[in-house]
Amino acid sequence: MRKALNGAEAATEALRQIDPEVFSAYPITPVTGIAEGLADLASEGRTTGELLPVESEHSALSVCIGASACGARTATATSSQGLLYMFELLGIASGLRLPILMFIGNRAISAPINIHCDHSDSMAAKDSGWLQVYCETAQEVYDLSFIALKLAESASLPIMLCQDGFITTHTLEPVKIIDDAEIKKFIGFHKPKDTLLNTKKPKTMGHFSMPDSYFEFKEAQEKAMSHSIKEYSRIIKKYSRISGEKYPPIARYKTSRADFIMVSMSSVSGIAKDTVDELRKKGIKVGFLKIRLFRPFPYKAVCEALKNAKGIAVLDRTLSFGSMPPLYSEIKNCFMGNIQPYVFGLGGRDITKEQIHEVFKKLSKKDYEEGTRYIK
Amino acid sequence: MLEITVKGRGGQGAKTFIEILARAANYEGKFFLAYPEFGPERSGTPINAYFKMDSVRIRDREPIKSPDIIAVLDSSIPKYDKEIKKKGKVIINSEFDKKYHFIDATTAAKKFGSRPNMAILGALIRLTGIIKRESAERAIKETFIGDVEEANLNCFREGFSKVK
Amino acid sequence: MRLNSDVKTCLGCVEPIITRIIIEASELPVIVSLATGCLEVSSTKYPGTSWNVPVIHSAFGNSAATISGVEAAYNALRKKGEAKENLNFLVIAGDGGTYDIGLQALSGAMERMHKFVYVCLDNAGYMNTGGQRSSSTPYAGITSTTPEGKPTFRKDLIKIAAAHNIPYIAQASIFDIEDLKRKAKKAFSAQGPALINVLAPCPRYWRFEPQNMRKINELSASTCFWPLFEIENGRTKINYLPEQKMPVETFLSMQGRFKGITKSQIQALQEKIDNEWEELKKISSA
Repeated sequence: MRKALNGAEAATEALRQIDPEVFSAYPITPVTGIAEGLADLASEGRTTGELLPVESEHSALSVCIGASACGARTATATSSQGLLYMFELLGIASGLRLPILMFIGNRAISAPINIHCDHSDSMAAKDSGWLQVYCETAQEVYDLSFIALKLAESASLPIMLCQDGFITTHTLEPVKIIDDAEIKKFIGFHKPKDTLLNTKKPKTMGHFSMPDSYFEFKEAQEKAMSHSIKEYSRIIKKYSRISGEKYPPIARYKTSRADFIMVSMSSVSGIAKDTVDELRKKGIKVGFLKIRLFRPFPYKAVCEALKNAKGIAVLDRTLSFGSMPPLYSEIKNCFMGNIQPYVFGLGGRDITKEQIHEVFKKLSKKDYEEGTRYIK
Repeated sequence: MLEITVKGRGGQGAKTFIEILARAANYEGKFFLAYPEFGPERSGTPINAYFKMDSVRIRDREPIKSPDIIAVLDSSIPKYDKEIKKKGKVIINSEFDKKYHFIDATTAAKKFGSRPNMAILGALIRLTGIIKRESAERAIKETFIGDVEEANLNCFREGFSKVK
Repeated sequence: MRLNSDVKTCLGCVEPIITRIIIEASELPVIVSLATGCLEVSSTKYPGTSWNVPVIHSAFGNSAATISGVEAAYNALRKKGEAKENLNFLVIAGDGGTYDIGLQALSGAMERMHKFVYVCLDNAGYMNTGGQRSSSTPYAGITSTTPEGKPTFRKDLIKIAAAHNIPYIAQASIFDIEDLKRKAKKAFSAQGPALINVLAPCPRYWRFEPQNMRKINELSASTCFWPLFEIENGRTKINYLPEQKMPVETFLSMQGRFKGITKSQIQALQEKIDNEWEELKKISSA
């Protein structure tokens, strides 16, 4: 079945099929649609879980932590300041190894206050121990919701599923929906052993840990995180059997035998691919690499994809003040040649095909500049 | 790829207009993107809503610079001559216009207890045939319920039959 | 025992004692949400735990939000036939995690009417981090962040809870252990949120000898500094009417944290206590 859905609606539809036992969120633009959609579904009796409209994002994630500790499937949705308000709990959710599913509608962080898209919110959380996946389209949001759920549960780590605020959350596109029964079979059940509700084997979660034990907790988290690359591949393979769609950690668009490759994430990938097509028609050998799985970062796959390029441009949709932009900083580990960092789209500023053409033009002219270039 | 820009003021239903087009296009198995201009919404300020349709997946989510069709919900919106493609079509909400296609959507809306956007949608479908009438009507039925559905269908049909 | 005897609190600390009295009053098994604080740090040191019941400690200000999630998950799983046991949900937080950083989450959980018992162990300051002031520190109380004595009066947690119209609210202390037990039982059987605010005098930061603990609790009640009362479905009832109402100075003079308090400060405090006591008597007889 095919529906006209925007990214928020795609998330809502996925959540309808997942039917988490607990969903708790605080409204924030541009993801309010998810909580509202779920409230409608619940009132129609089409979902069975508990919806908790709490008084802040800090409480929303706290609720998810309490619920997930009981072995319940839990989810939330937020952006920007909301994510920041949850910040102290990000490490707690990850440290307590709870597979919470969080939808992010990427939005710029204040100040000044801006409700439009950039990646400063989820990028600020890249070191929190959460898995992170970036979706280009509403279709990806829908499909990757189930993949994200299974990945989180296999790793016992929470996961952020990111989509561009407004550009994806509010744009209607055709989304292929999979049959309820197939999805049910794919996601299976989540029945962890020894949850908080087990009074026969009472568990203490959230210990006080001294220097002699803390390190090992973190080591275990890191191990689970890095192992999840293998898990991701396994899960997407399984998913492709019911959907026909493949969602590898990176998406290579005409990158083989490309002289120049642009690397980026999320919705800008659309016009980047259009630009690549236009240039390829003229015989110019360019390609585009989309990063889908950001945490854990798929270094091996990226190195492989970039190894024969003559030059690279990386487009980040956030700054890392006082340092190099985050995606660039990862890509730097994967390519020995010239890389030009770019930052674009802050606070939702549009980027045009002409500007993308310009990036490729500069690459072909070997026009590199030290430091980050801004596309404004 | 077909590009349509709907121009209106906040609260006049430009967003709903493109949602209905999206649903209708979906029934016909077409690929599309439908999105309003993003910004804090206020009643009364001019806004654009964009609709793109193609037989292949559309990847460009940028605002439409040069539409094939412009639908104007409120004739008080400032001029848009420069935007439209050559041989493009413009449909405006007006009792009469020399240059562009017109339909008195305001009167139609009052007549049926609906909104002008429905009549203009009808007019657009009639003039361009980009979507089948049945698809559009089905989309209207899916979007609204009860009396509102009836009123909107009638207003849509008025626009469809009376556009010049 | 649901909380065993190996809790690494300070010499003379009453928090474990209060906790045991309350938690044992639950007939049903209990799931506990702990806020960061003295009790939490002293009872959950990895790899051990002093708890023989499921306990979750997530953060400082969110213990009420955490239990909301636990309760919601339990309800959802129960609907599916998965969580079959009848359970009680208990939050234990200090005044820091309740009056200040935890107030928002507590307010939200009360307003949403989750079924849980919230116990505030009120030692009137952030004792776990070295005795800084909280909004429960009394007027003129000396703390590390109010070395001249706190310039403002305490927040009234009971009134805040009452403003949420929850089914059961109580103030208690170990001056009357049977009263505390009774209140705990009532709290666990309330059909909605229940809050018990328990005085937890801290020998270290209130600066008194541990052997004076009993006397301090007695004076807290007889001076009406910490009246024992309850509000059940909106009806207030005083549980202890002192035969002889003692001047607050008798309570203050036993504690080093009121050293240097002036006569006019004592008077101001006395007036506040007297006014509130009169108000309480009026409401409870209505």
